[in-house]
Amino acid sequence: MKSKLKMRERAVAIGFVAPLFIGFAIFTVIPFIVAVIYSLVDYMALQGKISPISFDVYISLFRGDLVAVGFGQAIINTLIIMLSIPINLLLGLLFSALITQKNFRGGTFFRVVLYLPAVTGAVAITLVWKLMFNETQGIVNIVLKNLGIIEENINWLGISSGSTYPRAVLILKNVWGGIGGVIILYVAGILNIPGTYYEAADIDGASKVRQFISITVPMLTPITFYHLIVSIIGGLQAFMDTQLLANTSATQTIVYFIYDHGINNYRYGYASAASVVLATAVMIITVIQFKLSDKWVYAE
Amino acid sequence: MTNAIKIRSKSRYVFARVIIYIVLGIAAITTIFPYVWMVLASFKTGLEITTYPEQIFPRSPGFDAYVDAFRKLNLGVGIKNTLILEVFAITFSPLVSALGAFSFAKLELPFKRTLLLILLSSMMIPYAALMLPQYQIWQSIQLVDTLGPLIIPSFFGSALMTFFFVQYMQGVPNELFEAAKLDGAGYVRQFFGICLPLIKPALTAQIVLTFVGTWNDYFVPSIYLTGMESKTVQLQLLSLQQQQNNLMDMNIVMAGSVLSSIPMLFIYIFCQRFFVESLAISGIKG
Repeated sequence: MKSKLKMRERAVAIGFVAPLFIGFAIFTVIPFIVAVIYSLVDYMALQGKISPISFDVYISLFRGDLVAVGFGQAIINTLIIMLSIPINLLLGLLFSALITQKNFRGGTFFRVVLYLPAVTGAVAITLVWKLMFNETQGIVNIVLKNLGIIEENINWLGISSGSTYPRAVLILKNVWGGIGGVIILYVAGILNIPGTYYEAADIDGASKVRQFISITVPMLTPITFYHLIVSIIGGLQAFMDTQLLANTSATQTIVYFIYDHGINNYRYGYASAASVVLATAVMIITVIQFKLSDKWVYAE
Repeated sequence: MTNAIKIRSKSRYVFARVIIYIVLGIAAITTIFPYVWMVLASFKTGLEITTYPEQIFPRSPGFDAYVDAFRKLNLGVGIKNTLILEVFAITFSPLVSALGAFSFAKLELPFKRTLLLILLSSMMIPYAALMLPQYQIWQSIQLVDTLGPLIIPSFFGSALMTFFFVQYMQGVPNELFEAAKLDGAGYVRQFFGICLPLIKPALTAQIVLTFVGTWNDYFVPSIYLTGMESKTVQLQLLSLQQQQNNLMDMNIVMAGSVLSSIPMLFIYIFCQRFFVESLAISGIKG
């Protein structure tokens, strides 16, 4: 009787998770296996052409033949734009420490304002950035010129502008848009640190700066680590800025490479190989996080 | 402590505070400035935006650009399409995920730990790696350039949401379900009658986050929706851009941007704690 009930519960339990796993199979497992196969047979969708199984696509992917902006370049671009991550962590930590001080007013207001870019649509924001950084009419050039910082208009986002300016704008935009999230995490972390630690340090006569370095920073390492991993995974998948803000050979990211070769040019083999490389990188980072997070997180 | 030292340390304290407020003030102004610029540009004429040097304030502010946002940018169609997506995204996805989470957290599901790990592994695979084969699936059943590829996946829930609900349900005592079982409540009734009401805060938070995420989504819609009639709000914002790459219509684009941002702004102001809490929880629990 009891085991019959149990069997029934099991059947129901399996039924309840079934949609999740059916979706997982259709939208994740099968597409991923197909992508791996495409990369091995160099599938060209337009001609319906496939080649014998080999790693040739991967080899030419890294040698960079066939394409104007190579995969290696796309990786470098992606990594350079990810420079916003350490900037965000440092600035975010500093701001968080400032607004969580005792008797500090306006901390919540500040936190709410700085998280705004994460909530309003990225397309609208990207478009206004494009307007602000326009070469001839953009407010940024006008202000810089009036302040005497620059003499000639800078072509921030154009193809002819070399690599520094478009990348700098993308990094700046990522700092601008990402710092609010870092602050929310750090503030929550700082408020979680027991006040007794700081009281003890006060009694020992440690300065505020000293307390920040010796208590706050180490206590926040799990959050720093978590955010680092999450933003690396997110940063590797950056795409929109390349397509909408600055589409130059210095800013084309890995996902843009996949999109361009796959969706625009029907080179499914090529695009799939790049996507498998990307997926492998993300998987490795996730596993590292999983393994390390046990060690890093302080026992509560 | 002598008075002189007290005063000196007091004035040092005030000085430090002033510096901190200046630094934070600059950061806040920098954050808000693009929004202000967006609003200002939306009240200008196309000519004003392209005249050099551009004036900061519109000479004769008017709502022409906002009217044009509906006429030329097709914003109305975009809002309609996005709202259709929202209906499915905020009902089916949370429900299916919660049902799965109920099974993971409260029922005799065999191999539950392993199954949950397998499900979570889907989050490790970037969308870009699945994009092309998924595109072919939708192509083969002729759903490209319809809302189908964006609606149908919500019938299968989301791994992230499921995980979130599992965590939340673990805090709900099992006794409640056992008592219901003794009363002869079926599993479906336990789910709707006990489970869902108990996880209401988590459910609300996920619905709010999903609503905002769906409204702002760009990448996936941009792949599937190409026709003027099927585009979402975010894609309609770009429809003038792609036709001609000049700034003449930028006032209309900015008006559309303002209109598309306002609903999110309100949701953010009123549901602020959901954003903060869900982010903070994910960070602290790792």
